[in-house]
Amino acid sequence: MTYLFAAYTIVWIGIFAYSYSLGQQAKRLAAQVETLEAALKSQGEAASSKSKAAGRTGRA
Amino acid sequence: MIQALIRAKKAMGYLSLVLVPVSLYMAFVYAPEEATGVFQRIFYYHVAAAWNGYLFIGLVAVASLMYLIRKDEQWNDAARTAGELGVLFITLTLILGSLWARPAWNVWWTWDPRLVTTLILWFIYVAYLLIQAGAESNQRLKRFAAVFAIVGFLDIPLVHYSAILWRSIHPNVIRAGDPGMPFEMLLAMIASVIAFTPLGLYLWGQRLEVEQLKRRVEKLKESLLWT
Repeated sequence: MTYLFAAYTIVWIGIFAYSYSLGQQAKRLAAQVETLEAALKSQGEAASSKSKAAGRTGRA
Repeated sequence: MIQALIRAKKAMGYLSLVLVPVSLYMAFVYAPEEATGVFQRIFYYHVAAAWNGYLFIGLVAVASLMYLIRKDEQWNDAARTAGELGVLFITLTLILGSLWARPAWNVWWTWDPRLVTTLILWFIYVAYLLIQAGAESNQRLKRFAAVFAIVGFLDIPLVHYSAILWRSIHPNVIRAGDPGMPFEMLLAMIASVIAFTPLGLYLWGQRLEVEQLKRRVEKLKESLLWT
């Protein structure tokens, strides 16, 4: 009985631990993607407003 | 194909949630207890884990071949992630086999042809993962890893036929025409194998999703640097 219990426990702990670690990694990476996308967007906006301002100064 | 696998991940997860309890019922309640003792029920998950190990190592070989033909990084990612799962399931097979062998043969390990060829298979794919870990952006090393994985796959028929070709004490239950066990036990074994397949594919989908997110992060970091 001990061997049987050990065998099935090892299988499920192994599979759940692997799945859980993958889930945590995916969560962390998705958050990183969100942060980077927001940074890229704000950088793009800053660059376009800068070029607009430069255009206005040029015309003046 | 890789995108389809990631999309099918949820369906595979739900399918496993249904099939795993059925396989446990079949293994613990439906299948009769053998005269050798209750520990014999380890066999159902031992075979299922071995099946998944073979399946994922087969997938490593196919994805590696596709990588060599198409030179697309996605195939290398598929091969590497399938390799991880192959090693996970072969590890479980070896552990379960050892836990069965202790009460059955009175030893944790014996140098039987089936056990040795399985251990060699495990070493081959651990080495493959180490090569992949060192490859990073080295295309030559990635191609070498792909060839290594394809050649390593040749050990699978050797594992299977080792118990037939050489003198082995390992039970040889999967034989053409004769299952070598009562019908109920055969059904319980098939149920475990069927339950483990979507479970393995679910884990692969999860692993591929992580890989895809990593690539996305890398790309975003690059574009932030260049804008």
